[in-house]
Amino acid sequence: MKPLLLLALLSLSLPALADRLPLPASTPASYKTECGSCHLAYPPALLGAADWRRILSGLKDHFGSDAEPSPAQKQEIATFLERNAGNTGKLGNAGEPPRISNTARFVRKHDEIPKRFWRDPRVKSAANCEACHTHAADGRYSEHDIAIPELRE
Amino acid sequence: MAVAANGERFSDPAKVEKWFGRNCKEVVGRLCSPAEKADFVAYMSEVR
Repeated sequence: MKPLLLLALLSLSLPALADRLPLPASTPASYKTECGSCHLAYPPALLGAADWRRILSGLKDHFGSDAEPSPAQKQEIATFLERNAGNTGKLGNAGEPPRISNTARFVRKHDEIPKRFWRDPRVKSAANCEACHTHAADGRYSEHDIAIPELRE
Repeated sequence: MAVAANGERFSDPAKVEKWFGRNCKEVVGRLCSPAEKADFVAYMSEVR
């Protein structure tokens, strides 16, 4: 009986765990300010280490903006991302330039979202996690936390 | 952005320089002159 109960609990908790992507406790302040003032400070596990390195080497022209931090901050951020990067094998190819929203994992997780939702002016772009995931800043990406009723109907 | 709305504005010189660097390049396509920066900070400090 006990192993069965454990199994049941585990199967209940696994999907929830997959939707929890809080920033690691070791996240340096520089990551939050330098990478989180224009967009969400994305969970480092959503890109592989090689892709983060490519992002960091191109910050002078970061999707059209100059996002180059000071050398000291950049080093700190690089070390942090290197340590907390995700598994490219599981995430899938992020493309060039790397985009979290290009990875197979992201595409699969969002495959039920109709195209018109992405085009909604309140969403603007797939980079804008918080448009739908209202608790993204706290690392909560669960379907239960998606709150755009107008988009849902 | 106004100091009236947020007293922390323009209190950290490194942060001010960083954002002038980024935003001047993006908005006017070049770095801002010291006089332009001073005008902007003065305006933002006074506006209500």
